[in-house]
Amino acid sequence: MDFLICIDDTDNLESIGTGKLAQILGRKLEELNLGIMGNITRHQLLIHPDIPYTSHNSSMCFDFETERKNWDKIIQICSDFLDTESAQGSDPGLCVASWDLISEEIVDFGFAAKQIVLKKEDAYNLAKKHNIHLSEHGGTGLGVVGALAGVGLRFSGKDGKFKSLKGTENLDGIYIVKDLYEKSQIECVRTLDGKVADEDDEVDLTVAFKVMLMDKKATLLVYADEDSQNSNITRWKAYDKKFLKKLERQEQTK
Amino acid sequence: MTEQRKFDRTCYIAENCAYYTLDNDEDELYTDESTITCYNCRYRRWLQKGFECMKNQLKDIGE
Repeated sequence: MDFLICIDDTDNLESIGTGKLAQILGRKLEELNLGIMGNITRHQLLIHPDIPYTSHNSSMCFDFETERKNWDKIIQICSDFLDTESAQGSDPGLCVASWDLISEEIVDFGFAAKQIVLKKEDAYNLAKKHNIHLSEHGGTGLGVVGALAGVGLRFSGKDGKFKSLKGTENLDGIYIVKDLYEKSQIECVRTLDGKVADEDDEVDLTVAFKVMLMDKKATLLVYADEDSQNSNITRWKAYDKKFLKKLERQEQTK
Repeated sequence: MTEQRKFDRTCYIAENCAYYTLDNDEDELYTDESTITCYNCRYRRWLQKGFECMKNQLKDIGE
C-alpha cells in the first residue's frame, strides 16, 4: 500500500532545510525495514505576510510503500523524528495518509493553500473527516496546514518539483530521450505547451535542471534547440532552474 | 533597472557580503552553485515580489 508522508515548517535560517530532513526521515524508515521510499516533491505554498515561513514556504512530500500494519509505527517514528530534529523556532507539521484516503477535497485544500491564508483548524477538521493523520510538533504548529496541503498537491499529480529524482543525480550532457527514460525515473519530456518529445530525439541536459510533477508524471520541461534545426535529429534543451523558479513565481502572482 | 542588471547587482552584493552563505539545500539554489548571488544565499527570504535579506544587507533588490 502506498502512503504519502508530508512535513512542513521544520527549519530555521541556520538549520538544514525541510527537504533534507524529509530525505533523512524516509531513509530512517527504510533502515527500519518499514518499506520503500519513493521520490520527494517540493510544493510551493502561498507567500503572504500573515504566514510565517523560513525562506520559501514550501512543504516536502514523499511516497512510501509499506504494509497497512506499519501505519501506527510509521506515524510514531515520524512524530518522534520531528519532535527531536525540527529546528528551534519552527512550527512543524506532519501529515501521513494512505493513498486510498485522499480525496478531491484534500486536493482542493492543497490548491487553496497556494492562493489564500488557511487556518490550522481548517486543516485539522478536513484531516479528521478523511481519517488522515495530521499532527503538530512544536511552536505554533502551523506547519499542519502545509503538511496537509502538500499531500493534496502531491496526490493531484499536477504540482511540485522533484527533489533529486532517482536516476537524474549524475545526468549532465546530451541524451537520447529513450535512454533518459531508461536511465532515470523521468517519465515525460515535453514543452511548456504540451508537445511531447519523440523517443529518438535528443535532450541537452548541460544546465542545472529540475523535474516537475505534471499530468501525474515526472516531467522534464524542454524547448527547441535552435542550433539543431538544420540537423536530421531534433534536439531539445532542458529549462534551467532559474527559468522554472520564475515560472513558479509567475503562477503564484496570477 | 533591467532584470539582468538586478541579477548582476545581487552578484556584486553577495561577492562583497560577509554573511553570504550558499544555501545548504542544492534544490533551493536559483542557479548553479558556482554563481555567487543573493538568490543562492541561505539568508534570502522569498516574498510575494522578490526577496529580502535576513542579514539586512540587501534592501531593495528583487525580481
